Amino acid sequence: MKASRWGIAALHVITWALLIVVAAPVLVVLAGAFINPSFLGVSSERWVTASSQGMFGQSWFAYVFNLYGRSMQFSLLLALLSIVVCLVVSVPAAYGIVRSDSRASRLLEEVTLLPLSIPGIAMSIGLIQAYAIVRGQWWLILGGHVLYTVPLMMRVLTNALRSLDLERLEHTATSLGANKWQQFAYVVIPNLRHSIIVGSLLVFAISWGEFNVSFLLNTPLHQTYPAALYATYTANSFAVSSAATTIFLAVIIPVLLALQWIGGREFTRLEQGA
Amino acid sequence: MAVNSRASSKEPNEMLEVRSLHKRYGAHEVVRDFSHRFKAGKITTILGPSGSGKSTVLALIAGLKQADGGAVFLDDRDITHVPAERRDFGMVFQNYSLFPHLTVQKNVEFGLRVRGLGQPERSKRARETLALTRIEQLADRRITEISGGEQQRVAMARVLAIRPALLLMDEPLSALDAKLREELRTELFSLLGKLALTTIYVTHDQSEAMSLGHEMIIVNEGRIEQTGAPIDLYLRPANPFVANFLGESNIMAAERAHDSGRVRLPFASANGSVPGAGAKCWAMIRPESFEIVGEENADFSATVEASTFLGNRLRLRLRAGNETLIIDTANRTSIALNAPVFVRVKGEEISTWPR
Repeated sequence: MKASRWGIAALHVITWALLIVVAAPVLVVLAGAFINPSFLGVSSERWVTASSQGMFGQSWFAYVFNLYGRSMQFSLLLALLSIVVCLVVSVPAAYGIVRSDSRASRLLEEVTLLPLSIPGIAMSIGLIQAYAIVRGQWWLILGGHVLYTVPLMMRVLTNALRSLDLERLEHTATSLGANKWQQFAYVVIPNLRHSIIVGSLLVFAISWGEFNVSFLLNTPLHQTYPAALYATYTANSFAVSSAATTIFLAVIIPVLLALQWIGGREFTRLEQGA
Repeated sequence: MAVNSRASSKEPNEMLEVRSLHKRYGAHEVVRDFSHRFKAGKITTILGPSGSGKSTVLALIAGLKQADGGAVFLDDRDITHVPAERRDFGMVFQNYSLFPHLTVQKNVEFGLRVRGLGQPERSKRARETLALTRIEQLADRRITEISGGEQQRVAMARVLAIRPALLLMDEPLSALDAKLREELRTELFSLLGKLALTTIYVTHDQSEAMSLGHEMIIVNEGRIEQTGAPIDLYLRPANPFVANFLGESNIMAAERAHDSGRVRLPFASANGSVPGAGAKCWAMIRPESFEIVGEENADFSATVEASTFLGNRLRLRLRAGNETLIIDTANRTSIALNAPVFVRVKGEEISTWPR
């Protein structure tokens, strides 16, 4: 099919229009973080304007770090721990499921995907009721994050393992003298390298941005950063909220870009390998 | 992990024997009563059609699959239950099965690494074996960056690096295109000749099996049909399957004289006339065992139905009585279609089996 010149021009216009619509909120937030509110026509925030003059007024980043530094640390810690727990659980589980390939193992695989279909609120209430004794413990939040991220990690790993031709690689390693552990450590894990990185980045992105479980299970001492963001939106000025949101984006955007980049590289690697 | 002593100092060419191996997949018996003593230091080829169980036999010897019955002996030691990783057998797979995450050099070092050899020794031995297969210059390449022929050599180097007690090869050339296969075959064969390792080489290519093997095993439906030197199998096939599988053959119902051992063909009496009735038999004659002669020397006459020029020879389809025969003759023979020709069977080149 040959598209006309006008058709292509129209496509460009639509694409750019969509991009602007999608990007606008992010741009407004970024502007709010760096530009004096009075310049943006936000007149309600006189107390902000009063303390600073000019287009680039007072920076609110120090204020946000001071106020929510602990939440950021907690969320980062949660995200990293989620990665560790996910890997510890998923790598052996995915390997076992793909390796045995029985009806039971396929059922188990479906079960690991189940948490994805449960709404965050239901999951949180469930966690509180099931583990009432430990209610208020920070690691209950970790549990919620892990439940949401394990299915994705499992998917990434089982797909990768299935594309590997495990039996052939393991037979080869065996015939060269490798025992079961050496096969796993020297052949299976290195071949999963890319998927482990991709899965970990996914887990990080989800945990860092997860709101439902975090909000319902958080305690004054252990507030996640998204919960803190919500508090800022309801209780703080536009400038402060914008600064807080900018910090949130500054963490997650590099992760998403890395995912994109690795995904692209992996694709070309597969293409060349084939 | 302790360094495996046999990997560094072992007497070469141990004697392998398999006794009555059996293997079933569900109700399907893929290997049945497979017994053989493999000659030490020699190359044994296992030839059979696809699905004949020949690769399974190799996997049983390697220990990659467990037999349902029978035993494997190495120098009279029962190794049936020794795990594959402790057998010190080297195996080259059909698709080479190189590790995609490792460079050429690291692939070759793999077997030494899992045996706990230190890095300097590993590098040294990997370099040596890469030199042996003439691919030193590829050492630092990635597996995805080298050609199929080069991959074959890497697979060979990787196996030789562990100095295997026994070399097992599962159709190592079948993944290559025809021209490259021809080229690598010559090289691989001369390398195997130099190594003088006990080698078991599985293939479905009869010319590979005949030209490489000191000894040849023909398998069909999981069973050994015949064992012996390639020339003996070709000239004296034990049954119609072997005759048909190894090269072209003409097989027909015939009779064998009780006294002289001469064979009466349905359309003539080759090797002279056979007096009276003989024992019923099947007779097999290779296409090159016929020659076109003058009427006075002929065993029988036939009609030329078709002729195909094959470069180095001329292949004719003849009709003699009710039989259709395939015969090969010199490429310059001038033949008229549908004309009679006079044919002689070269002496002693008829194989017979009871019918």
